[in-house]
Amino acid sequence: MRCDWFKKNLSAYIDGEVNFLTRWRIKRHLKSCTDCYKDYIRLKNLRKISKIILLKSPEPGFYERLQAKLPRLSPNITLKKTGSLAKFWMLLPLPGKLAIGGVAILILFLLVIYPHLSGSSLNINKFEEEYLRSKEIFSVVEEPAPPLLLVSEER
Amino acid sequence: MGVSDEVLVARFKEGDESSFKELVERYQSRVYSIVLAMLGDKNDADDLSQEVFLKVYRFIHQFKGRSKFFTWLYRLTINTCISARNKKKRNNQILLSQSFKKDFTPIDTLQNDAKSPIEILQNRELEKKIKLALDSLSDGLKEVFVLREIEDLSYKQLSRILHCPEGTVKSRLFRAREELKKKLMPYIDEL
Repeated sequence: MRCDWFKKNLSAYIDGEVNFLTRWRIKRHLKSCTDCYKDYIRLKNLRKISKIILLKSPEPGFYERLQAKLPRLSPNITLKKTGSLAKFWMLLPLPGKLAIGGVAILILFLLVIYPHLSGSSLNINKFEEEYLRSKEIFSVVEEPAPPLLLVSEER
Repeated sequence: MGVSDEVLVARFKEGDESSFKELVERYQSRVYSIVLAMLGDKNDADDLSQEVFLKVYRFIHQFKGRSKFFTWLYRLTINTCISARNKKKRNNQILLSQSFKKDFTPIDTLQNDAKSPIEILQNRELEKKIKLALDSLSDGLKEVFVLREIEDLSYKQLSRILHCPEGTVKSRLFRAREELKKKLMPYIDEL
């Protein structure tokens, strides 16, 4: 009666699917019960031979044979056709993608943002000069027109 | 370290067929082994394994990535095997039972002179007997046993693939092993 519980749990025991306490109990029982130990060895042997017998490989050229069947499915397949550049991007590992992204951001920074941060672009004197010049133009525009000179035709 | 299944699936979904090739090469032996163990016929196993991968090719867009790719693939394999088996049963019910009776010899009557485990395993007769014993299991017991022995999947993973609780996986495995143990007793005792 007592062995029934152990025998029921032996299968899970050899799969390593029992908790610590059950494992410990079974291990201890196997040391003292020859009948259960025999059962345990049988299960282990069964596992050994089934593994060897079940694991098989298909005939060589499996993918080639499969590939020959793939084009016939083409109307049902909705895979997107991608260009070589997109394919390159997809195949590129993540560090490569990150490196390319980083370089692109750096180039953008150097071309667009950096020139505005440099000393030459923030030349205050030049800016002031430009500002005053624009003011001058405005002042010319805003000046009242000179009064008309009446020229007498007395001669 | 190779590219993970998830990355290959994502690339394949984007149209990269070389990723599909890599997935096939990664799983072809395991899928073939499962199919062969489930059906027991080499020619059928080759055709059906290809059918499994054709289904992967066709229905990959239905795989949302909520589970592991292999979970989905093995479920697909098991379903394909069961439907092929049922189809075959429907078509050749009488023929199959006749050939089964013809091939079947009780295990007790089998002569076995091999001494070492390797010699025993090399004995094709024994292999035949093991396959026959496996074939006598019900589909539910066989699928859990085959997946466990070929893939060493945990009970949790098996329960996900087979859509049943872990307790059911445990009891099915126990029953499958008990049945096989009884049928193969003379051979496993010798190992």
